[in-house]
Amino acid sequence: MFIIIITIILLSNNSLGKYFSKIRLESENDIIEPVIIIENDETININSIDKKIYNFKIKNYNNEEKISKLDIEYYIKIIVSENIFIKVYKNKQEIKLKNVTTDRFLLSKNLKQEDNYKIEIFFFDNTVQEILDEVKMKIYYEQKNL
Amino acid sequence: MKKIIIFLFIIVSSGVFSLISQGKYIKENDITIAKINIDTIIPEVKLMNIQNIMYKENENNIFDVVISIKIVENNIRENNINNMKISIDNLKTEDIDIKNVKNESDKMEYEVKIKRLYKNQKIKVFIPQGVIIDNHGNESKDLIIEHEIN
Repeated sequence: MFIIIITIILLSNNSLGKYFSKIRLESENDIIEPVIIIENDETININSIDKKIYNFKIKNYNNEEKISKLDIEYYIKIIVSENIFIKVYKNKQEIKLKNVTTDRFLLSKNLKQEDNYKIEIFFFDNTVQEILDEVKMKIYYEQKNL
Repeated sequence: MKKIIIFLFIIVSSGVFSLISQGKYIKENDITIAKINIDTIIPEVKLMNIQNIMYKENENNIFDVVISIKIVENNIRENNINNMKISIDNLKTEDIDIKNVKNESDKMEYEVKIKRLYKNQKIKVFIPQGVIIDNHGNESKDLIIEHEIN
């Protein structure tokens, strides 16, 4: 009896998976794609130890004013070597990083939103004579809830 | 028995429902913010040593001169050490031999051998500015070496 029930459950599981695949194929145009636009400065070439500023923005709408229909959470990770110090500002407010990573922020669905970021890059050591390096960032997005 | 079946049913059902969440939108972007190329250290070309070596035994008046030159720089972009100018009276080019004797990441050493020189003969070696240029565009300063064979 037990084996029969498990078999039925497993079989129904498989057929359920096929069913979903079929829907996806037939209704491809109905899949909701989020709108996430990044507008960023060009890569800065740093040749001196002066402070440098990099700006970028993350938006949930495009130039045609199409607004994202999904709630999206995102966070930013800055990849930087030890002798370089960075400050991150979100909408003019400094935000603290934990392990060079920001908190998670929400881009709300159906609501036009634009998050403006500024990154300041400093050097810890004013006497630094030689550095060949890069500052990078990764932006991770995730759909909040289905 | 019923409890076990219900328990297993819940476990398997949760697996079925988890299939639905596979469509979750996840994405990441990689962006290069800055490329840092700071180099305030000027490439250095310096004289290490000059040796007078007797050309042949029993020929006390003929010498080979070996000038050792060191280059200190981490990021060499151009090396034109062969552009050095050597001025000696009656010098033949086949009597000059420039050899790289050490090649490390941050330093190089060269030996300039000038053959068959006579006692009291004067040598002038001029290594012009910019013989070594680093990745940042810094140029080495000029170096003048004057030597008299005694």
